[in-house]
Amino acid sequence: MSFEISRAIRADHPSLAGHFPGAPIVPGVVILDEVAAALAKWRKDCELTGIRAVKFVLPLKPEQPFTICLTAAKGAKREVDFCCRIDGRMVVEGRLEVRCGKI
Amino acid sequence: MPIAKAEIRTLIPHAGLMCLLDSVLKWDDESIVCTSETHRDPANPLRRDGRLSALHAFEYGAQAAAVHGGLRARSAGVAAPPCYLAALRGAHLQVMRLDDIASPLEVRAHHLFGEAGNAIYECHVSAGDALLAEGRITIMLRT
Repeated sequence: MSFEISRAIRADHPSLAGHFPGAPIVPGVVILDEVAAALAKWRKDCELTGIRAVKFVLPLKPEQPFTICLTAAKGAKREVDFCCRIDGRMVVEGRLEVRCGKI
Repeated sequence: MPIAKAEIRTLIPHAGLMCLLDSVLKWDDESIVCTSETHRDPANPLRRDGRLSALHAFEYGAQAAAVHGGLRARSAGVAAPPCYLAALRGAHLQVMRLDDIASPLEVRAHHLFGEAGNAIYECHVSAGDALLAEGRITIMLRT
């Protein structure tokens, strides 16, 4: 089971002016918020309870299209693997902890 | 004496509303305790559809770690290198959102190992007696 969605953070995102002046880089937490939104779209009955691990491999620039992929983690019922790629290059990868079922 | 926002701005590169911490209550060579009420600010630049996800607690934690790095560098008479959030491990969320938390946030970062430019901090974000989020943050040199 897996899910994919394409996203981009617009240049007028309010976090970018101050992160950082003259050198905008999408904050890691803004990418994680997009990953959480993708999870909510894919598995409506799941909520995010934690992040086992995440690595920000390459910086993401404003307007740069990226693909979020989510995959049910093998052998771990309450975990979801995720990654963000730009043209096949890994930008962010990690594993989420989720709670599913009736909330 | 707490360190106020104006001085925090001289210690980290985050500008405008992205400078999330309001003050440093105390710090020593190992750790730092900061406070902030920006989680309730409707203009908080990390809000999405009006909500501030609890995930953003880790940006508060990363900024506390960056301020700690800045303070340590300043004591040593050097400039702290600009760093970014490179990794996060063992992160747990006790709540879903921060914007509805009435009390000020207390943001603690404890230096576990590494030097400026590649350091790991254990971070706790709480409000009153309630822990909201915790995790280990890796801060790395921005190249």
